[in-house]
Amino acid sequence: MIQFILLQNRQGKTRLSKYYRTYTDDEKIKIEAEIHRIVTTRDQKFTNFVEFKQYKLIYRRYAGLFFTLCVDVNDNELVYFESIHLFVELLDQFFGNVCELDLVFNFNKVYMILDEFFLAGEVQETSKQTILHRVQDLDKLE
Amino acid sequence: MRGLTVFISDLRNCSSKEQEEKRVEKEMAHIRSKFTSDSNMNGYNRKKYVWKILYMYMLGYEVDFGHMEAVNLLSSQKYSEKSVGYAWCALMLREGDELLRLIINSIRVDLISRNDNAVCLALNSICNVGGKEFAETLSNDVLKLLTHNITKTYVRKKAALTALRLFRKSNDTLPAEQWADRILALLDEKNIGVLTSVTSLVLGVLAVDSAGWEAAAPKAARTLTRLVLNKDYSNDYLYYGIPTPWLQIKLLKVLQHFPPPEEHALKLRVSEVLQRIVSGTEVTKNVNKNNATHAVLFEAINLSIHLGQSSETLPQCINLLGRFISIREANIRYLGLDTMARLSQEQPHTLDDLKKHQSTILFSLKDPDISIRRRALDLVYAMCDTATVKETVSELLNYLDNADDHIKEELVLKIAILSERFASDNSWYVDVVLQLVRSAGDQVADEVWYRIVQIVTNQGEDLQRYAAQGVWTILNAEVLPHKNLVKVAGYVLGEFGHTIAESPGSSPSEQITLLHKHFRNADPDVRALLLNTYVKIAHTYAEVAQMVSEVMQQHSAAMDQEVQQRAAEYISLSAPSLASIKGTVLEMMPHFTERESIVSK
Repeated sequence: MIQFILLQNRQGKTRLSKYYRTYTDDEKIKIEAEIHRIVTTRDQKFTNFVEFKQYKLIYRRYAGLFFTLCVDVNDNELVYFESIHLFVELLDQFFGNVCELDLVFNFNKVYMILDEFFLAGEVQETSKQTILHRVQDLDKLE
Repeated sequence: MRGLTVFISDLRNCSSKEQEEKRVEKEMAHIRSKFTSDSNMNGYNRKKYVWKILYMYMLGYEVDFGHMEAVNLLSSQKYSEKSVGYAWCALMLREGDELLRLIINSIRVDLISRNDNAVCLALNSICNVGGKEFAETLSNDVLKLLTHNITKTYVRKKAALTALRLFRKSNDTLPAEQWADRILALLDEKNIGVLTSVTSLVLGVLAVDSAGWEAAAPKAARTLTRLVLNKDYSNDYLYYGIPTPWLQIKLLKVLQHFPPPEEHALKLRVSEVLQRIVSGTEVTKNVNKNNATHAVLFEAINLSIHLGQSSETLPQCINLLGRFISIREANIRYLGLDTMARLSQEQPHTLDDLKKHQSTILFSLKDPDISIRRRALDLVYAMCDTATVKETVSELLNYLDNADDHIKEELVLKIAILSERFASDNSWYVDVVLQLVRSAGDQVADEVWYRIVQIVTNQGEDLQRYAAQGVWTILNAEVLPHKNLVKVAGYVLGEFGHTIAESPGSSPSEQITLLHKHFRNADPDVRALLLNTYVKIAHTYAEVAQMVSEVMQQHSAAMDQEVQQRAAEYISLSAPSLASIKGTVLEMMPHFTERESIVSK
């Protein structure tokens, strides 16, 4: 399962964090700092997978943002790697050419989209169309 | 919400951290006062203020108010207000929080509501913060939603994952006798989204105990046939041309929880699916498509490995892995090494086939990427057997000199385990461990050199002499030996120094002199050990008694308590009245009882 999801920019600011495992606020600060250090110092030619405590990190960079998934050791790396991509495609289609600022000003919607794609640390639905229809319906609700 | 957008802009336009802090404080004070003064605040404002609170919290500011207002929003009939209440719970609360007791009733109301959107919010919430208490109170309602035929698909998907969350918090939520049939029946669904979520639930249960859930295997195989062979899926589940790699992989994982199928039809089905995946995966230019097909391929290889001898695709998989470990693309190389290690461990009969890749694997030990180095080390370790152990250990020892600290400790442990497990002769094993202590003293855990002591003690005089000679030679050669080396040498000479005492150059007094050279700068724990050594040697060889007695005198008032105590006691032990006891106390250590090697643990 996914232990947590992080979206951080190059400067280390966390734009989105979702934890599927319980951590205190202090622990989260430490984790986010360490993850930022790890993903920003790895060479581009290296693998997108790194051991982290008793888990592993799957990370991917899009422009100035680093998407990191922390998963169990026996999880399938490549499929989670592509899950990140699917999530980015969802955001891109919802916001229309998404950029970091969209995520800042619409953080409430980003969390809503996240909860339609991932839940309880697992992938919930994989059809982009299905997810987006649902999200658009929810967005219109008063 | 204009108010929120303007506020976010304001904060972003602050030119310094102090300015931002001031603006935040101002806003918090404003909201606080509104919350206390305006008892008839409308939903829109309450919603707006709570979103602002959440934004400030996300920036890292501490927020200690607004709880009641947020909880209040949960019971609103308007979706936009209810959803911010739930968003607040998700961000501000965590499992076990006291406040959850207040909310659990609100959640239950929404869970059994006729309004599907409210139901979804409640399910999300249980997934975000639900713990054991939630499992006890709400699992029945969740399971009803999951298994009822009128439940909408978008609710059913969430119900499946909520059930999984509750199961993980309390394994008694889903006893097989009660629920296996109903939940596994859901695996006959057509809707792939529902299948994906339900399969995750089933996998979660299988991971704990598969007893009672055996019907999952044929159903998984049937769905795989649908997807892989029959192209029976709707196009919105195509990901770069691949039918839902996510579900394929989950189904392949389900099959790995059961022993190889015996029933003929099932066996055939699984075999056909694997055959199609393993032979049909090509390398394509499109990165995402390539990743997706290979994600499925690697899982199929994992299943083939699990099926072992009964798998017709295993030989092909072995070939593929052989190719993958030399590919330039790092991710594939990583997975190749990782999967090959799994293969070595689960199907040791394939080791002979894999040995031809030894040089590629050893080369990967030096890869600039630490992730690859770790996989390579694991693989080298997994592939090692009696025939290859000497070559493997020799390579690893070479590698040790240049390895970085992250990997050194693991490397030392693996070398120690391999050399003990596969050693065909004990004197080689002694050489290896002494070399370890010599080159990587810091990373050699105490358990490693305790082990060598145990083995040498139990094996008899020949090995004891070999060990004594070994430590003597090394100690003479090192100008600044590592403290662990001094400890090992001290212990070995204390017990077995007599085996080399007759040889020129290693008389008892020369032994003590050399050891004492390193005593001066040694840590207290090393000194304490050396005192034991001295007293044992002195007991057997009267010629050094005087020298040793002086050392004991010197340190009978040492600062370190252990050192002081030992020195003082050994002085007393030399008194004539204790002569009979002395012999017993200073006797050679008896054999150690054979238990599981502490190093392996």
